[in-house]
Amino acid sequence: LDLEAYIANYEGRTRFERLLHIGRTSSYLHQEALKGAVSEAKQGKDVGRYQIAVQFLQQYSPNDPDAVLDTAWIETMSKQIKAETDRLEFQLRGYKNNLIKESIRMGNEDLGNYYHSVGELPAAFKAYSRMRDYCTTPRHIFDMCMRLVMVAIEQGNWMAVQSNIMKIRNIQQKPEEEAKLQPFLYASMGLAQLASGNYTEAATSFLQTDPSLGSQFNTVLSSNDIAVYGALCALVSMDRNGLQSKVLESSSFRNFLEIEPHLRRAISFFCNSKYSQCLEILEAYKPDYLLDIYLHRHIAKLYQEVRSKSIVQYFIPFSTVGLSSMANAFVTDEASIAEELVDMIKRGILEARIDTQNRLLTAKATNPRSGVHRSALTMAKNYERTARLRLMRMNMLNAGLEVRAPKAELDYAQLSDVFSRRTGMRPGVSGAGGVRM
Amino acid sequence: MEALLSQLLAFPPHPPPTQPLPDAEYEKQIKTILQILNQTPANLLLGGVAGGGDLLNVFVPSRHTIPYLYTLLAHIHAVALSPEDSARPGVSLVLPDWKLWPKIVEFLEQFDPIQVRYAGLEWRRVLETATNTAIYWNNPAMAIDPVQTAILRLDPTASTYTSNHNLFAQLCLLGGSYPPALPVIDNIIRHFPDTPEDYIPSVSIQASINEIRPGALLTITTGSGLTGAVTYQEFLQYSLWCAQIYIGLRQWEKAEITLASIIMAPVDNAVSNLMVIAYKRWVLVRLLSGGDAKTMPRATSHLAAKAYRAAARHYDVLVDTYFKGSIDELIAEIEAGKEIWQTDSNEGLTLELLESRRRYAIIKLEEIYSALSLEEVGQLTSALPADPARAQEYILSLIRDRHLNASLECRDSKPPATSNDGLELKQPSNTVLCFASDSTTGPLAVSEEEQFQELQETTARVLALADQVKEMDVRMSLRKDFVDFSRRSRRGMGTKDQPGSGPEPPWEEMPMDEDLMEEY
Repeated sequence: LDLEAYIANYEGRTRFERLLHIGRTSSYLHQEALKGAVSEAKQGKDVGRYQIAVQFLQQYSPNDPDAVLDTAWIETMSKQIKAETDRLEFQLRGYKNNLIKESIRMGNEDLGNYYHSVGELPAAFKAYSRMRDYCTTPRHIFDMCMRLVMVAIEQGNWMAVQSNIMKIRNIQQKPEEEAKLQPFLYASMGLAQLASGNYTEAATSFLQTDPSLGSQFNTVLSSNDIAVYGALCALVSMDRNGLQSKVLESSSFRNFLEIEPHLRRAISFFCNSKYSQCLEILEAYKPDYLLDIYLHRHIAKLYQEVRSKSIVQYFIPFSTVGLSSMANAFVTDEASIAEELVDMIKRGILEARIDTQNRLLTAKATNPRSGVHRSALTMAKNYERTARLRLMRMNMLNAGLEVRAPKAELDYAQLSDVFSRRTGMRPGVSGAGGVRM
Repeated sequence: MEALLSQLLAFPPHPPPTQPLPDAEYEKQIKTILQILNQTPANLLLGGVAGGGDLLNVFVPSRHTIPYLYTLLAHIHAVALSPEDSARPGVSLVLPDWKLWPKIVEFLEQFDPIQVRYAGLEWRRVLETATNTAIYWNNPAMAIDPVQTAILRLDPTASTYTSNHNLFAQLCLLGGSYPPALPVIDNIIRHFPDTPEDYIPSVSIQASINEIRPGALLTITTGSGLTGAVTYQEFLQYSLWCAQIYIGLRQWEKAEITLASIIMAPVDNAVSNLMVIAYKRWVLVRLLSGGDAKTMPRATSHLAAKAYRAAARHYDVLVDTYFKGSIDELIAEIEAGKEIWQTDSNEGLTLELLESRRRYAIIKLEEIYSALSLEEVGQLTSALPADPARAQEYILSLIRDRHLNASLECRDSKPPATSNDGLELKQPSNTVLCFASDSTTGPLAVSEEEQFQELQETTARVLALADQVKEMDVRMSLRKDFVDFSRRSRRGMGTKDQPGSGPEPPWEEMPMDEDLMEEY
């Protein structure tokens, strides 16, 4: 991964986040990345970030000159921040006293922006939310939601991201504006869905993102990211036909795929049932994906899903397959493929059975006719049971045989006496009598 | 004496007339006989015929049921142990010896069920004598067959609950002999005596005397004496005993339904201890019959459900361990709760549970494997005995008992041998368990015809049940409270201005029609 080129794709606060993540995870690039992180932090006003970056740099390369905390800078910066924050707050209070909606709104916006740049994300979120009461035009609401989305993305508050995007969608827009907005909305929606683990919906969102996105969104995602996320999510959630039509033949997504041609190859391998090659490509790029801040948490799961899907697809045309040939196709040995298969059968995604003696995987013979008969019989049995029980209960009710606690006058001795005379059994053996709840 | 005798022997006319007696005449004649007998002092009946010979030998029980009955009772009362004598205070009618026993049995097996309806109390006394005597002399098995015959003779469907059912179940349990109980307890109780019947179908009297209407024998009431009073305790106790019998016979599904009906009993303001006992047993039996023991039957009342959850925590833990834990964990869990199971008399069931869990583990393998060696089975499930020969036997027994649809093969240079018991399967380490590929092959194969047969039988049963449901619906909708309720709710909905609308004609508008059956 070429760090320089990579980070050049991004702007704004996300640069720091990505550099920090790479620095923490990559043993190869950590020095370069962390130094970059430190310098990024120093260029901004976020003191907390600076401290974290230096801390990590200290851990990994204590001898680097940058690894020393520049306390002077911290102090001056903190003072500046405090002064500016106070000023803005004071200004806002002033506006509030004047009761001019527009200035209050703008005051909150400025405050929010400032908090955001300083790294006080919860405060920024609150400030932006306060704008809601003072928004008078749809444009205002639109601005507010956009800012909320950006802050929420940084916070990882995906619910807020999704709800605010819905709000933006509900606002009436002029067509050109809508067109401009579209890629942004879909991209951030997709990101939120990916982070929440809804790969199917994420795939849909990313695939619908218009390539005119360009570098509009590079304070969060680059076009490469969209390509990667979209392709991977699609691989995981779609079947061959879907992949073929919506990904490979999609005119809009094709532009994205061209930036990441290896993914296009991987998808076409999958569609052509060349599973080992597909998986090979994915494995090759795995280290890079692990360096991505949004993707690394999901990589293991995504890869596992793709692998399981490949195995299931592989098996579809066969009624019997030797375990050894499967092991070859999926680049592993027989014992581990057998384990994997057992796990998949248990999870219910593979309909087959293993013959350990002949080392085969055999498809489950379906007999729909007897299957239908059996389910009919089961249904009938359940009906019989329920009907019988209910009828019995209603009969008891009709006959006045509900369980009723005895009246207070009758003491237990009398009752038990009555009972024993009827049945000839000793009292207490059967435990007759009410348990008062 | 002779005059009395000739009067008593005059009814019913013998040989039977070509045209059966009209009902009114029949009733008149029976009531005359009853009157005569009620006025005859007991000594006269005990006295016997002139020239020696017991009256019991003169009367034929199947024809002269009522005279025979009264004579028999006279004999019983003459010899019965007084309540103070018998070691069971409050229980009378115990015979001191077995001399009268053959006569009693003869009566119970041959009485005329229609005549007996007019002397219900007396009939029941004889039944109770038989039961009490057998129990008193510690030989309950003696009474099982006669009592069974008597109950079924009175009502072949045995579907009206009586106090005699309790006696019978008690006999079977005390006598340790369960199969004879089945003809009686297998009948689902469809009717309770003394149910306030707001709606009695207009059936001709002829039918009600000479036939026995299936499903609801309306002549069995406490008034007729054919049954003693019935309370919820007795019925719940009866159900619990039935469940016990089914458990003893290892018919888990029937036991489960019986226990479920106890759990679901309607509850007014308190929960009976019997229900709690039943719930604990139900949890175990439900597992054994292959059902889901975590969800109670839906109509269980809330009060009862709370009581169950409070009292049966340990059992719920056991259920969890059964499904989620390993066999060893289940063993540990059962060991840990040993005292609890013992107090509840459920220890045997917990051991059954363990056995069932072993089977469950092996049966589960069918979903993942189509063939595997016995060693692997042992490794994966730890449910087989260590010795290979015994493991083989165990699997064979599972196949024989229809738990597994599989066969054992011997993989060797020798040709494969199927699993007949007679064949020696050498080299057990090469034995392979092959599961059948689907339900139409293998030792448990169900052919098309068999399935079709089963479907037809089930359809018939389901249709019969549906009829019952409809009947119950009609009965319930004709109850006073429902009528009031629907009247009130319709008034509340303000449909006063449309008197003819709605599925039911408003009661005020309808002309007085005797036969309400027309509407349905």
